[in-house]
Amino acid sequence: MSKQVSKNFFGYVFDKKVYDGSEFMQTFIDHLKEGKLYGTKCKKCGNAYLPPRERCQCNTPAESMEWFQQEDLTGTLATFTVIRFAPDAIVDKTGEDTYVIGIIEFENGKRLMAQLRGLMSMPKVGMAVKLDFEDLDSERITCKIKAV
Amino acid sequence: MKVGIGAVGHSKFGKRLGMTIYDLVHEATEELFSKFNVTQKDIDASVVGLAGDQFNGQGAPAAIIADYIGVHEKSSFRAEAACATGSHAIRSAYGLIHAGLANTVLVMGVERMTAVTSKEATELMSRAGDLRWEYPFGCSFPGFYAMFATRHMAKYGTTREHLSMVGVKNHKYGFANPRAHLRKEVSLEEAVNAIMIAEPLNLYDCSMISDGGAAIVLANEDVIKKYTDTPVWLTGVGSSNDTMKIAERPSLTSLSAAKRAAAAAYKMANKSPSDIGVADVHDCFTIAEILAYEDLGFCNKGEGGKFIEEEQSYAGGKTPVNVDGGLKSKGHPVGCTGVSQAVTMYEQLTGTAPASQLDPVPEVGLQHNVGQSGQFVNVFIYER
Repeated sequence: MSKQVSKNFFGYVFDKKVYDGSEFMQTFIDHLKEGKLYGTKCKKCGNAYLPPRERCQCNTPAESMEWFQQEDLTGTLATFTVIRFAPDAIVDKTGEDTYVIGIIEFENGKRLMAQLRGLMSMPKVGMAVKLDFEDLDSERITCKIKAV
Repeated sequence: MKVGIGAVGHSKFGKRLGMTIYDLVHEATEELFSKFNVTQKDIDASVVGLAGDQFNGQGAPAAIIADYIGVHEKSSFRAEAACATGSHAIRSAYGLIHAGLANTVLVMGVERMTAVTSKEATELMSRAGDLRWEYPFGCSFPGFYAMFATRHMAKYGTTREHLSMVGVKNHKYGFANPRAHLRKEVSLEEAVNAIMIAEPLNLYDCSMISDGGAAIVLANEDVIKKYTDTPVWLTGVGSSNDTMKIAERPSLTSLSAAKRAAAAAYKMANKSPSDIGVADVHDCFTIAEILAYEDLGFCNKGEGGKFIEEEQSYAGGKTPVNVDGGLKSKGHPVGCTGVSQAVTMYEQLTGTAPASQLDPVPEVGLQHNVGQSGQFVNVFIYER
């Protein structure tokens, strides 16, 4: 039984090589399209991963992983930077050579990296933020961090 | 069984047009074989440290390098751990000797990076991030350390000026070092006001993209006296990894791998931070040196800014750090840096540094070599 090739990709730029044949990434992306953030949890040892992993660090097979939804998308800004000298791939794809990248920390302690979008002023470590989603085009969907 | 450094060689770092990866190693081994009483016949095996094949194009680089250096009739292979490649090459050699597979190992570190443009290098190095979860946001390599800096400044009051003070120090020592890539002193004002790369890190917070080679001979105590009357012993070998994604790190203001590696090295050598007379730490970015002061126990957590402000990491201070110019000014040919740091350790502890020799000659040295955004850390302690 062959695995379906991921139709969509996560983020502003991507390397197809880490997606090929991945049902797993397509499942994650399908949830994003519904406005839902999913991680995976190991039934054997209890480790929870956000973003998700297909297999657990405790080295049990993929069948021991199950999806869970991160329902609360609010949190605080753990850190950020303003990129002023950007890698070629993202400049070529988005036309932007300056953007803000940060890490959101959810109440449960899980942290996620994403760009901060729609900022009206300089961000501050510790400020209230929430995670949102955006369909970039027919191929790509991303998470983004927004000020609250 | 004691294992130590019995010979060293080091190329000029910089933009070395016309030099291949094997020419850069050769420049280092020419010095090593001429200044020390060692020949190719003495070499039982060699290890090559080279991290960035994508910068120079040659596949399986240990083969061509071993051939060019004339050690191809003994075993050679390449060790890689991003920017901690050089120290992992040393650690591999140490293991070969302790396993009894070799008495004398030639360790060669090299990188040829300037054949690509700065923009190409930025794209290549952004692939050091997690391809699924960090790369897609356009996180440049400086971006990772910039995020550590932002949080360190928010949590501990570390300032823009503190970052630049590290750069000013390392430029002062690089200026004196004849092998350094960038031999130019910089004022605090110039450093503070330089062009931004990834805020708060500016041009003077970021180490150089350089070409260079360095080599050492590691040997056991039975044979080392043949090569030199002044061996320098590797008495503490600490090594650890950390999570791939920085969002999953236990701390965003410390490299937990550095703390684990340092603890192991201090324990093995039976030393503490206050015993360290000279240190080379991995200042890929100025914030990395400030984190290193704290992670290595040279100062308390959060006081790294105060440490540089009080000039405690200058010669004459509590713990002189990067008196060879560090990665910032000496340069950072990625796979070579860990071996270059070992050369500095040897020279400082034997009183033979080409510049900025500490006086009195230190007895205990420490090297701290970090790979990627902190996923790999080696901390080694050296003694006369």
